[in-house]
Amino acid sequence: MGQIEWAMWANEQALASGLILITGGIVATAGRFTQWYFGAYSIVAGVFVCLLEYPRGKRKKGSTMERWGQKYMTAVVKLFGPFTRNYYVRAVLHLLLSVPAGFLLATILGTACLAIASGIYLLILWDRR
Amino acid sequence: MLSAVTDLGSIESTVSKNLPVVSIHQLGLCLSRASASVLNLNCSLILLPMCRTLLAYLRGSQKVPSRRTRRLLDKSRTFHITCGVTICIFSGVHVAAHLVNALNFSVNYSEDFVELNAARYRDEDPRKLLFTTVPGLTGVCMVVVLFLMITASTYAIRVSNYDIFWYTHNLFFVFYMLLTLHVSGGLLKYQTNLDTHPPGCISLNRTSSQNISLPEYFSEHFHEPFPEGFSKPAEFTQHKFVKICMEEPRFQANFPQTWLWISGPLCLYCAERLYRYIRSNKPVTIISVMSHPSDVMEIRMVKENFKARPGQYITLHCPSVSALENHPFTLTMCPTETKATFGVHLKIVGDWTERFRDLLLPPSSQDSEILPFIQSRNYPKLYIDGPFGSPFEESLNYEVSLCVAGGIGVTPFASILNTLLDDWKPYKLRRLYFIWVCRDIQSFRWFADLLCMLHNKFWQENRPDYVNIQLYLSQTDGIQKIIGEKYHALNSRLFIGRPRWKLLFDEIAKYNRGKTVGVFCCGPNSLSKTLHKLSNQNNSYGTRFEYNKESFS
Repeated sequence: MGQIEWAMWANEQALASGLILITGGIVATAGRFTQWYFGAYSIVAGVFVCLLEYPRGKRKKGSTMERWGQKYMTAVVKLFGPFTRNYYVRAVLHLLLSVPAGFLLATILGTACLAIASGIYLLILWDRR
Repeated sequence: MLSAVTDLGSIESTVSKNLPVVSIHQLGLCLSRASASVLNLNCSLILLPMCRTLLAYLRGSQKVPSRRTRRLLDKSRTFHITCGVTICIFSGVHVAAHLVNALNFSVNYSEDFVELNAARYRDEDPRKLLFTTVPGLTGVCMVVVLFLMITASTYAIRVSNYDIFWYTHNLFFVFYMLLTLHVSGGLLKYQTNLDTHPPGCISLNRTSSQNISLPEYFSEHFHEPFPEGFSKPAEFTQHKFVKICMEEPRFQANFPQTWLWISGPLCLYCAERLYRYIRSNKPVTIISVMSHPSDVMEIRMVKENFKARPGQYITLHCPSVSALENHPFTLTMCPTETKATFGVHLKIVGDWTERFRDLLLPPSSQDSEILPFIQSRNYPKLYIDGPFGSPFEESLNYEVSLCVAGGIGVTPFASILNTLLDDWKPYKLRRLYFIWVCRDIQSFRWFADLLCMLHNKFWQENRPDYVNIQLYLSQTDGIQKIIGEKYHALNSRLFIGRPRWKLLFDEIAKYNRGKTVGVFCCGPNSLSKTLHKLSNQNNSYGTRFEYNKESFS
């Protein structure tokens, strides 16, 4: 168990959560639910999370399969330096982003999924202690 | 897809029959019901390719005589993945539709038909609906479980961290339990007294807002162009008579169809797992452990009542190495009627194989080839599960077979060669082209003895063209020509550099005109792709190449 690289899974989860947030947001805004502006927020947050998590991080050992076209996004993500490299920052960021989406029914699943991804990033940090 | 379309059609007619004129919702219900029926089908089918013992039995039994049907079994993993992706997509549709439904149930709460509502009062918060009803809560949990399973099942994760995939995928059982509860909520109802309260009937106790005068009602609703056969609108209204409701509508919950769909495959899968568990509970007896060059270890063992066909694989489970992990290895030697010993060749690549080797071959004696007898008493307990089928079993059923191995990928063919060494007459195979590509010359010593013995046997029996061996050394390093004087037959068949596949295929086609040649490859993906492409190309000799693909992760 100790050899498992959780970071890769957390990355996949965060990417999937971003997509779920976008879908939920579209359903909410299109259906004109009450408080539909949460839906609009959810779309924006989802796009941001997707772009941030698109580049797949390098594995500790072994070869990493890059996602198609990820080098363009990597250049942008690298600009923010330590803010994006650090897992602690990512975990907290995902947790904060997921909270507003929890108020609306259509996006509540996006909240749950992003919170789980944030939990896995925190697990990595706890494991490293 | 077909089930969704037919269900959508039938649901629309059912909806218009059962829902009152003031409808609660239409599109959301249709979409969620249609996607639910697709999910029913896929959740039941997805378990079937995982019943590996059953598939191995079907592959070997006489009841499946056609080669085409057996080749379908090769695609079982692809089928499983396709069902998984479909479940993922249609779950998304189902959830989105139900979210819209939840909102509509609360906003368009109908006082006339209290039983049909999922909401308990008007404008009930849809989030409460989601979390306090059985279908809602189980639905949310299922989405979370599905999310965990799918994110861990991507190709990148399977290739790099198989453990994450394996441990999360075992959550499928939780998913099925939740699914069973999810449909038991009784949300969908049908009307039981259609004869006494037909749709569209007028109740005499209603308020005036509902009691529209009849001619107006009909003229409003039937003011469309009439099909041929109807002469006048007046005649049409005369034929329609007023229906008066005898009693209030009564509703009863539908029987959950999902239980019917998933119970069969789930029981089958559980029975299979139980059978495998009972069968693998007895440990094997390790006879000998040998160390081969290039980090390969051979283990020979015996087990009571173990039967396997050449080309099949088993999984090894050693609790002293890891309590939970199982690793698949192809059998290189199958038990026969005269000899019950079977064996596997393992290449030491990861942490499990390293620890396994350290337990079986203590570091001090790893240089010597055969372990002294005194150590055999300290072997750890080893359990095996299997044997499971693979496409390589088919190579004995073609008249001509081309087997290409890359490195350690020679193991399935080793069992085929061992079987031919034992007795080649019962099988349909009459000519075998065996091509083995390796990077290091020492690797050929894994099976050099076997190849020489086979070659000699066929020379003795005056069938020198039965097996055609070609060994290729893909990395040229100078002094690698000699692998030992006693392997003279192999030395003359050793080539430096990669094989030229097009020429090889042309040569095989020329010498086997009009025949069907089975092509089998066990090696890196690039090799597999090249051979697949070449097999599908036409040639001028009328020879057909059938490529049999094995999928590893």
